[in-house]
Amino acid sequence: MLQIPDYAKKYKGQEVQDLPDPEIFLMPLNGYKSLLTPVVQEGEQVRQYQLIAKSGQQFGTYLHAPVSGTIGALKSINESQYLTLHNDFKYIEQKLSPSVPEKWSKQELLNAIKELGIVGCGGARFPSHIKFNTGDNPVDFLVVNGIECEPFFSADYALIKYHADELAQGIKVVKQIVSPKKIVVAIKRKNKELKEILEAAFLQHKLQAGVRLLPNHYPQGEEFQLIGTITGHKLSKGCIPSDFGVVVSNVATFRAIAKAIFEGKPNVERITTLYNEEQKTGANFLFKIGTPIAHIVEHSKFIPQEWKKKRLRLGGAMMGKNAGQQLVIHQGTGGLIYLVPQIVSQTNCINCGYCTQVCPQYLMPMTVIPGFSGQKNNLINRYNMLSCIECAACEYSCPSKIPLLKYIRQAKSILKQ
Amino acid sequence: MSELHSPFLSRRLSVSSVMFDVVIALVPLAVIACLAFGINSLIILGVAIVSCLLSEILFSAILLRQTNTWKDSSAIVTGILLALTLSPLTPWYIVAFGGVTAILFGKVLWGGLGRNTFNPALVGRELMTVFFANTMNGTGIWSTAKHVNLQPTSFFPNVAESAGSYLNKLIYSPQGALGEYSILFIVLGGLYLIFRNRISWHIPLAMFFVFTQVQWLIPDSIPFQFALAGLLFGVLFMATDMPTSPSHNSAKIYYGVLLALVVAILIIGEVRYAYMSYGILIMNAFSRPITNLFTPRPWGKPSEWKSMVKPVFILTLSVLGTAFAVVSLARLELINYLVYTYLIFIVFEYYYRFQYEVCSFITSKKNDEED
Ligand code: SF4
Ligand code: SF4
Repeated sequence: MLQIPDYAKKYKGQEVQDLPDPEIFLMPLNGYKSLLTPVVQEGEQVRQYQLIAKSGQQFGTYLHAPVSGTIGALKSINESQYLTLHNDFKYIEQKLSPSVPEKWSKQELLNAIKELGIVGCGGARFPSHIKFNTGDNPVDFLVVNGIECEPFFSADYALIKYHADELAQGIKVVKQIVSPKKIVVAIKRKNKELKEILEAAFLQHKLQAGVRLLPNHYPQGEEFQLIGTITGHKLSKGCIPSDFGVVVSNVATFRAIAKAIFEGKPNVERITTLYNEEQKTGANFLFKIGTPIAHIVEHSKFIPQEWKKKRLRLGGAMMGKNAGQQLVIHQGTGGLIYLVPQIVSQTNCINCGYCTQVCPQYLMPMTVIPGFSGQKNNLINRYNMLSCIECAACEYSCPSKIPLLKYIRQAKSILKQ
Repeated sequence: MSELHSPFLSRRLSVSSVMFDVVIALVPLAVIACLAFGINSLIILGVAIVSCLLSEILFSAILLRQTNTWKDSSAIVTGILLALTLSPLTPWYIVAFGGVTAILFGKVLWGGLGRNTFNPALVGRELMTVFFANTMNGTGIWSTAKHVNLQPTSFFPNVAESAGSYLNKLIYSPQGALGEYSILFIVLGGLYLIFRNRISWHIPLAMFFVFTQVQWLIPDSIPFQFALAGLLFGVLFMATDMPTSPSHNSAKIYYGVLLALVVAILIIGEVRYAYMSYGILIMNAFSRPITNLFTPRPWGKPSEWKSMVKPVFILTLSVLGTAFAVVSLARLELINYLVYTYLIFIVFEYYYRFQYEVCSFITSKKNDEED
């Protein structure tokens, strides 16, 4: 199993910082398998927290204005849709409707979660009202994922450290929805100092929940790995966890739910880590959804002014994207990382097996390398490359620096045909 | 690693650091060899390393059009391993021949490090045996006793005689090939490699377990003689060589078990001196089929062991059959022809296959860089 050094050690416990808000927000309209349509016109004045876009599609969600201001044009950049919003810096708030959820039914809570735009904060932005709608399946485990296995990231750490209170409230709300037999908060063993903080918060809110310290492996925070470690069920790729009585969600999602229900505030901000590998410094920031990366680069001292898009990574060094492909902070962006390019030269596979040793799915990634003697289409099939979760552990460990993930994606697209 | 696709982070570990760990594990053995036979050992080690490095540089440049492969230290590993399997009295020109052929026929013609099926050092060694049969198999070269520089002394003066001499033998006993003088340091080197995750325990342990079982089962009437040090050296440093052995645990265990059986067959078949190298070479040939057969079970998928019974049975039969075939060839003194066939095969393979693969590999790399 792969161990990645704790790069965030120095800064993970620091206070979450603020940046001045940008003048122009680009609100991302592409959600999880859905495209939101604006419900406001160009030129319209909107208040802070006002609904600006929604979608009626299966996985559709709601999007709210993070500040008050004027709606601008629709923009399409790199095949993604954005709605511009000009900040007037007046912060005129929409009237919020905080509530006391004890009296609410399950369906009312799910509706509130949907209408306040809560989606999974772990990266994929799966809509929470669908995830928590477990129907008649009994739920054995509610797993609160505080693992955060991407190197450099510490947003979830800061969230647990400074907002354990809200986290406990959020868990209580979800508990009311899914009525689990057991609640488990999973954190990494190296972050064990968080355990006391969490337990104190649970005690205060009279919440029956356990804190589990899990190994520091990468990718321990991946949903199926987490379920495997906590419940012992090994679900293969494509299974729906709630069919097996498990519901997993990220800590940031629970906090967003607490804010939504108890304060009536929609999901318009998140904690995100900035890191610069050149200076080896990082910090956590509170950003509003839709803050453009260019603005962050300009105002935080973390990323050099003459930044190169090629070196800025959004959403993590292991599984994230190049910042050229996504221009703003969205609900699932855990971090923004400025990396020093590594000069590597690719050599032949030496069959060391490190990629197999670290693969969480127990696959044989070296079999996808073109020219590997076993490479026949049916053979790749036997090697079950389709269950690869693209966690990149294999490529990280390869001493020959082979772009395994690129080959895996190629092999997958061949296999899918 | 590329600029546009994740991941953007890579462990700071390169092929040369992997190889360098093997060198570190072998250094104590080389030092002991030098203590035992002084300048003789030094010459053999030096000639082997230099000839391997030079031929790596030369042949990679000509045949593979790559000029930086020598930097990965694998040629040094091959050189040391080759030297450590030789007698301290081997003439230097034969060693040089072994070094050059090890790299050329054992590695470069296959397409470079990682694509070779057989352990290069052993290929070099067998070619030396075939082309210099008189010297290499002569009894003269193995009667080394009167050349020993440093006589074994007693490290445990206070321990009872029999136990003491046994312990002394574990620490230092200058008999056989250069790498086999200290069982203690062979095991320590192996443990170091296991600790550094450069080899895993599966092959050596499976091999040893089965081998001791076989030894115990064989009736006393059949002569069963082997050198423990040579066995350990082979199984820890040769059989675990990354490119030529399977890459994951279940396949490694099967590989170790079959290696034990093959070596036992060779020993019973009275293949003297070379039972370990033949055994490993035979298993090398089956490494890829074993890898393809024993795949790890993916997360959450049902076990497929029932459908594996038949292929495993057939594979086992063919491995053991090969072992018996090699025994017969050795008895009929026809091993030479096997080696000639190998030479023809590898030149043919290079000429008609790897040459193009290597070229297309290089062009595909160029395309990557242009992306
Ligand atoms: S990216 Fe795929 S093949 Fe590689 S380690 Fe992760 S799951 Fe395994
Ligand atoms: S880690 Fe790289 S070199 Fe090692 S077996 Fe896997 S692909 Fe080959």
